[in-house]
This record gives sequence, C-alpha cells and structure tokens, in this order.
Amino acid sequence: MTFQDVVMALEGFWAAQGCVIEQPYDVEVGAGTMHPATFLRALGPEPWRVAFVQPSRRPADGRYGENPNRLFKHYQYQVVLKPSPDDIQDRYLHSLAEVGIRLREHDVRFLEDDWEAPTLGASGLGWQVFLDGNEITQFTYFQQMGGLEVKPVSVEITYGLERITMYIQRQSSVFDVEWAPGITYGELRRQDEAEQSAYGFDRADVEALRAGFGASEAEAMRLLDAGLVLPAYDHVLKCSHLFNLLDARGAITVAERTTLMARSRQLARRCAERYVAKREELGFPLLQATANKKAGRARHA
Amino acid sequence: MPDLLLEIGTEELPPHDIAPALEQLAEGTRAAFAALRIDAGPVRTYGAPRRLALVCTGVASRQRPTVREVRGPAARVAFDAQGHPTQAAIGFARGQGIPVERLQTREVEGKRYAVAVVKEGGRSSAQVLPEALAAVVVRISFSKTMRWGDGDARFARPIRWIVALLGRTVLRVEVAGVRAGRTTRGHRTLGGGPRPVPGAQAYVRVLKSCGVIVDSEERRRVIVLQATTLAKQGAGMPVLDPHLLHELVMGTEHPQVLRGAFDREFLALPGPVLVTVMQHHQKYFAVEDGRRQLLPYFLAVRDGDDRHLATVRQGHEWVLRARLADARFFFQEDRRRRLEDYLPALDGLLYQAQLGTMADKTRRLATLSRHVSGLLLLDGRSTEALLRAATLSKADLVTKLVGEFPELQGVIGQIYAELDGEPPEVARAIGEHYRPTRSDDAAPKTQVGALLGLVDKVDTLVGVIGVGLVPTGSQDPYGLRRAAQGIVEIIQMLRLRIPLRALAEVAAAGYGRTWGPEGIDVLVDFVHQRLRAVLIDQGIRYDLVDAALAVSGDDLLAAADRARALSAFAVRPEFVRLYVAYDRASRILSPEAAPHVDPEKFEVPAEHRLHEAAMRVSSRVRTAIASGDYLLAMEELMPLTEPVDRIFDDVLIMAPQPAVRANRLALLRLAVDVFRLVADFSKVVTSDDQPRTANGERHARITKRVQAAR
Repeated sequence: MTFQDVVMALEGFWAAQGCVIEQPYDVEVGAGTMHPATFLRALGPEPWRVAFVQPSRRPADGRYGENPNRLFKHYQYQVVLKPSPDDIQDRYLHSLAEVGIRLREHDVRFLEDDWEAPTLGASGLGWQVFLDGNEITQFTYFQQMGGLEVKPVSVEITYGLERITMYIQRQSSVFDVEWAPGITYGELRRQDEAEQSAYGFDRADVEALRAGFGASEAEAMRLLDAGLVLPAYDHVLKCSHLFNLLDARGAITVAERTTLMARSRQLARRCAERYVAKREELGFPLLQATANKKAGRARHA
Repeated sequence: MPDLLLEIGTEELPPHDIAPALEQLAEGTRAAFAALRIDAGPVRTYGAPRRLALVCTGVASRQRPTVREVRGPAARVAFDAQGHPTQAAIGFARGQGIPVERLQTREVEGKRYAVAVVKEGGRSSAQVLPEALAAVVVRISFSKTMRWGDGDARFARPIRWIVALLGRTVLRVEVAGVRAGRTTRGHRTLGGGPRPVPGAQAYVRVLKSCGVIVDSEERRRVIVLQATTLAKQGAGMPVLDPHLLHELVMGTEHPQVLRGAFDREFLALPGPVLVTVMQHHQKYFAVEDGRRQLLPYFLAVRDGDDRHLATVRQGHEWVLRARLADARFFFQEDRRRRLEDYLPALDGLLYQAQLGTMADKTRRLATLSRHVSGLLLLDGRSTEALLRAATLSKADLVTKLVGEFPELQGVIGQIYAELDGEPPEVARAIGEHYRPTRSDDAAPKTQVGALLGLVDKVDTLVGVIGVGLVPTGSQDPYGLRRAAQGIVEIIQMLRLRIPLRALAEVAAAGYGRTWGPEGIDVLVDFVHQRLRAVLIDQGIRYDLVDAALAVSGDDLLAAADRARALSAFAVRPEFVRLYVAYDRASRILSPEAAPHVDPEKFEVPAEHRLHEAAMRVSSRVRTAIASGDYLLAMEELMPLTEPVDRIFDDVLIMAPQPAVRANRLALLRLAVDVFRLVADFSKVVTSDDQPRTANGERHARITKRVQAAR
C-alpha cells in the first residue's frame, strides 16, 4: 500500500463508522490534538465523531531531511469519538485490517501510556499501540482538556502515518516510502524538510518570532474578551508554534521556558472555558441534533 | 457447596497494577464473606492484561444464622406491675420484628432491661453477595484511575465485561454500568469471540481453550523456559531482568518468545546502551555469553502463538535495527567532543524552576565536595577525584544519547569519562552517584562515588525542601524519599560520622539564600524518618528504633548502630531487668527533684550504692559509646539494675522531709540519665502491649504496598 492508500483506507473506514471527515487545520499545529475539531470539540456534553489527516510541525525534530526517522513535519491520522464507544479497541483493530495488517500474523500490543500536554492543560490515559515492536498509534482517553475535566470522555486515536507505511512497505528510511505510485515521500517532502530545518535552526529571526509571540498572545486575549473564541484559539495556536520555533532556534532561556509555557496554558484554559460557555449559550446544538435524530428514528420504528 | 467465580474484564491494564489489584480483590472478598457470615474455602486470584479474576471454592449457599440480643427500654418501663407488656414494650418488639411475648429481661450493669433476642436467619448467598462483591471491586485502588464513555465510574482502564457465578447461578453484580453474566472473552487474536463459562472449576480450562493462560505463574514459567531454550540455541543465556519479566508476564495473555538477531557491528556500542534499547524501549531480553558479553541476539515476547513467527521476527528486527542505528548516530555525534566540553551547555539546562540550572548545581556540588573532603580528612588523591567527579557529574545530561535515553544519566557520563581517559575512580563515581535509583537498587560502591552521591542528595533535599516541596502522601516528584534513603545507606556503608544538620547548613549556603532553621529541621526529620523505615525494613522492632533515634541527635550512624545493638540485646533475658529498672526509676521522676545530688543528705547505704554505681557505670558507658560499641554499652548498664531495685526496696523515695525527697529524686534522675546515654527506654514497648501479631504486621505491609503502588 502506498502512503496515500493508507490515508484513503482510513478515511473510508472511519467515515463508515459515522465520523465527520474533517480537513487538516490551516494554522500550524504540533499535533492533531490541537486542531479545534479535537481540542475544542472534546469539551462539553455534545457528542462528536471526527477523522482527518493533520500535518504536524515539530521544528526541533527537523534534521534537514538527512535522518531517516526524524521529520520537521509529519502526518498524523487523527480520530476522535465522543463519548468513547464500548467496543472502540475492536474498531481500531478492524481499521488495521483495512490497511492490510492481518492481526493473526503479527504481534499487536497495547502498552500503557499516560499522555500529557502541559501547554494545553490536557491529559489522558491509554496506550501506545505497538505492531511487532513498532509504535504505530497513540490511543488516549482524554480526562482533562484546557484544565477542565471532560465529560463525556472522548477517545483519541492518532495513527503515525509514516511509521505505519514504513512498516507496511518495510522501508528503513521514511524518504523511501512510496507516497503514490512512482513517487516517493522523499521526492515530495525532502526539499521542504531541508529548508524548514534550515529556517528553524539557523535562519529564523528570533526578535521577529518573539514579537510575534507577544502580538499573538495579546490578540488572543483581546479576542477572548470580545467573546470570539475560535479566532482567539487560532492565535493561541500561533503562540504555540512560535514558541516551538524559538525553542528549536535555542532562543528560549531556562527561566523563559517556564513562563512562556504557563502563559500558553493560561490562554488554552481561557479558550476552553469560553468555548463551553459559548456552546451552552447556543444550546449545545449537536446535543439537539443527536436527540432529534434519535427521536426521528423512534418515530419511524 | 458451590464455588464462586468473579472475573472483571477490562481493556489492557497497566502491568504493575495487576498484582496489587488482585491482592485487594482477595482481601476485600474475604472481608465481605466474614461480614456477611458466609463460610467459604480458600480464595485464589488470577490476573492477565484484560482480566482480574477470583475463584473461591466451597462457598456456603446461605449466611450463617445468628442470634442478636437487642437491649430495649428499662424493665420497669416495658412491663407494668402485673408483668404485662406496656406500649413501650410492644413498640420495641415490633421494631425488632418479634412477637411481644418473646421479649425477655436481662440485668445490665445493675439495671434490668427488656431484651429482644433476634434470630437472623441466613439469607441466600446469591442474594447478598452481588452488592458486596461490587463494593469490593469499586474500592480497588490503582496508581492512576480514569473515566470513560458517558459514565462517572473510575478504574485503571475501562471495564468491559463481568463474569460472576455462584455454582451455575449468575450473581447480579453490577459495576460501572456493566452487568455480570456468564460470558468471558478470550485472547484478542486467538480467542474467537465470547465464550460461556459453566462454573468456577472450568474457568482456567475455558480460558485456555480460547487462548488465555490466566495463571500468571504459568506464563512466567513459559517465558523463562522458552527464553532460556532459545538463548541456548545461540550459545547464550537470557538476561532476565526481573522488572521486565514481570511486565511481560503481566502484559501478555499467551506469551510466545521468539529470538531475533542484529548486526554484530552494533556490539561496538556501549553495553548499557544496547541493553537499554532492547530492555527499556523494545521490551526485549538481551542475550549474553558465559563471560557476560552481549551476543547479537534479542528475545522478544509476542502475545500470541507460534504461527507466522517469521513475519513477527522480521518486524522486530527491522525496528531494532532502526533504533540501534539512531543510538549509534547519537553516540558518534557525542564523541566528537570530550565530556568536559559539554559543561558550558549546562547553563541552559534547568534543574528546578526555583533552583536554577544544572550549571549552578554543579558549582554547588564542587563546593560541598570540598567541604566534605575537609570534614573527613580525605587524602589529596581522593579529594581531587571527588572534585573532578563533581564537576563532570552532570555533563552527560546535555549529550544526545542521554537526551534520547534519560535513564542512562550517569552511566553515559561514566562511559564517556572512561573514553576521555579520566581516572577510573572519577568515571566510576560519575556512573554511581545517582544510585540508589530504585528502592531495591544498591548504594554507590566506591568511596568517591558514595561521597559524590551523598553531596548530590543533600543538595537536592536542601534545595527542594527549601522551596517548600516536601513530599506528601504518595507524591514525591523529586524523588526525595529515595535521596534520603541513599543518604542513610551511604552513611552506614562508609561509616561516616557526619553531622547532618551542619552539612545541610553548608548546602543551604550554596543556594545563596537564607533558609530558616525550620527548613533544616524538616530536612533532618525527613532523613530520620527514612532511617527509621530502613531499619524497620531490616527487621528491627519499631520501638527499639525509636528508642535509639531519640537519643542520637543528628548522628545517623550512631542511631543505626544503637538500634542494631538494642535489637541484639533485646532478645537476651537481662534486657527485661534493664527495662524494669529503668521503668521503675523513670516513672517516679518529678520536677521536685533537687538540681544536684548531694551525698551529704543520703540516709541509708542503698543511696550511696546507687550513687556510686551511677557514677561508675556512667563513665564506663561513655567509654563504650565513644568506641562505637553500643552492645558493650548496654552490658555496662547492667550493674546499675541491682542498686536501682534495692533503693526501691529499702527506702521510701517520697520521703516526708522535702529535702530528703528532692535529693532522692535527683539521685534517680541521675540513674535515668545514665540509662538514656544508651537509649530512650521509655519508647520500648513491652511484650504485653506490643501489637506484634502476624496480622498487625501483615496489615501494615499491605497498606505500604498499596501506597507504593499509588
């Protein structure tokens, strides 16, 4: 299977599970968890099912396209189901069959992993899923988001698309993975990896990034005060990405790190609180939608 | 009598949670049987990643009937002059559910009361057990719990099914919205769907038929046997790390070991790096030859059977190759520079938010090392080694390899120091100074390593306690308990007479802040608590430990030696005499005592004898203590017992004349003070009132383990 075959197989599978197929978020993020379709939708009582690819930027992990396992930007396949279904592990294992992994022929293990994202005020319990010793998925039951206890609990399934495809294709370098027939991951991505690494490690203008952080933070607070949660959250994401760039550039001092992380967490918390309040004002629309659908079905029966 | 089966089906539990949960399940069930008056045979538990199970053979189908006497109103209120029951009696009898004519009278503390003798017939076990068992399950505590779905229930991982059978009857147990039935689930890949269980006796067999070896001891045997056999085929022995073995036993439902290989060229990497990659990251056992050299093999444990093993092996080999290639890259990158060249980068590494950087810590360690070296009069060579080791101790924290494998801190430093040609004792000290890293790990073995470990731990304790982060309950994010335990062990191993308080004050000065004396008090007390725990763990009675600690000030070595001597002495018959003499003398002490003993005021020979004995014994005891021989010190106390006994027999201590009385009290205080040179005997608990039953001990141990699991 090519890289894009894997993506399409997962899209098909999770669409059939009743997921909304969302699109990657158009602000830089470090993980699919930061997509509003995860971070914000996991809050409050409204049910939610979503799946999407999320390109995830981690400037410090860049290696100029020279390390076979490390990337400035990698692709996650993100699935969020709320509330978490009782048979979610089985559904996940079925999805592996969709990408050609026959369980009986392998060793699939759920290995304990507690997940925490301090800058988001988020934490959860779950596992890393290993396929023949190879970590392919992060499987998490969210417990907290933006400092708020979540209820109902969402389950988040994050597939590492490169890891899975490398394994399926038995490639020891990510750049040799066949993305589409006749074209490799390297051919598509290596130039970007090299240039983005050079930018992140060598060329980024520290003062401009720092100023950007301050400006985005101020904008986020201003927008939160104005009750515009989603635009505010975009600016929180910008802060987070600018922080990661500064960090990769080695521009963050010890003392600064703690305070910048605390400021990010504070903003994430405010967004979470405002988002829940806003949804409540709107009458939790998705709660209504599900109730109506159920009522409709009952009438037909 | 029917058998009981309870199986809690879950998603994959954290391996280290399983054994403590089973212990609680068994304890809780036994307690429930007792509380419900249900006779039951022995309880056995089974655990695997997806299930916690309990089997109890011979459970009575009904509760034991019981007779209770309930005291009602006073007899004169309950019955009138003719002996007929009054309204009060009728109401009371109705309340107790018996006819009024069955009320009896009993005399309690001299008064007569109406009494209802209530027979409680046994309800059926199937009726009363479900609620009790559900409560047992809900009360199981885990290191971390979570919620799932729409519910509020908390467990280590989601509960997905429950099997609860008494004989062939399903018990209506309900936990977290899951109702018990008779259907279990087998192995994820070998199982083939839900499977009914006919009864408790069939449990192990049914699970085996659907791919689950539910007895963890059997899984352990399978893993050890297969691993040993497979390693032998490669002319080696498996490195069966006990923690990894336990994790794999509790992490698989049907273990199958397979042997894979990696390129010989990776053997050029330092051994600890190879072992860490295999053991910690990939959960493989390493394989070594007869000379304990690593072989280019690994043993992976698959959860499944032996079909398609070639595919699985290939996968594991592929992953390990990538991991080792990474490690080699980091190693080669790191080795472009010497270890000391990494020192400047420590300026950018935070030690703790309020306590500065690792560079600051390194500077403090050097200062503290110099102080300790002066205190112990170390020779020039050792001092130099200690200072060099202190300077380099944290440098590996900014290397790429430690960045990738943080658990190798210290170990990598030692390897790089050796490669740089640092003196062997410097390298060893860097490698050892974090030890003990686990509660079952040993303290550093070399002198320089132990001293570096000591100053590092004292610096950590002073700093972290100084900013108010004293560990509470099971929370100890900075590992202060382990640090304190390390201090205790090092001091005993090197037999260091180091005044802890003074050392802590020097360490505090290194932080460039002023710490209140309370901070140092907290620290000294904290370390004392660890010493107490360590000594009790070594099998010394807690009361003897307390008796020793109470008189040892902040000299940890003296406290430990005293406690050990006391423990050895306490089993001798003469210990009782010593204790009795001390007890008699100390009980009568009062503030009326004169400030000094005045032999002029003695009236009888017994007083003179005790005085002389106290003076003589005091000096001999002091000599023994000065030489560190506390057992001898205790023996030296013995001649004091007879004169103490005698004075109580011969004179009235509380004499009517105040001056004589005050003098006698002062004399007894003098004797007591001599006893207290050795230990505070008032802490000793005598055999009559000492809770040393097997039960009490076991209870304490279980509680401890549960806390440790948290």
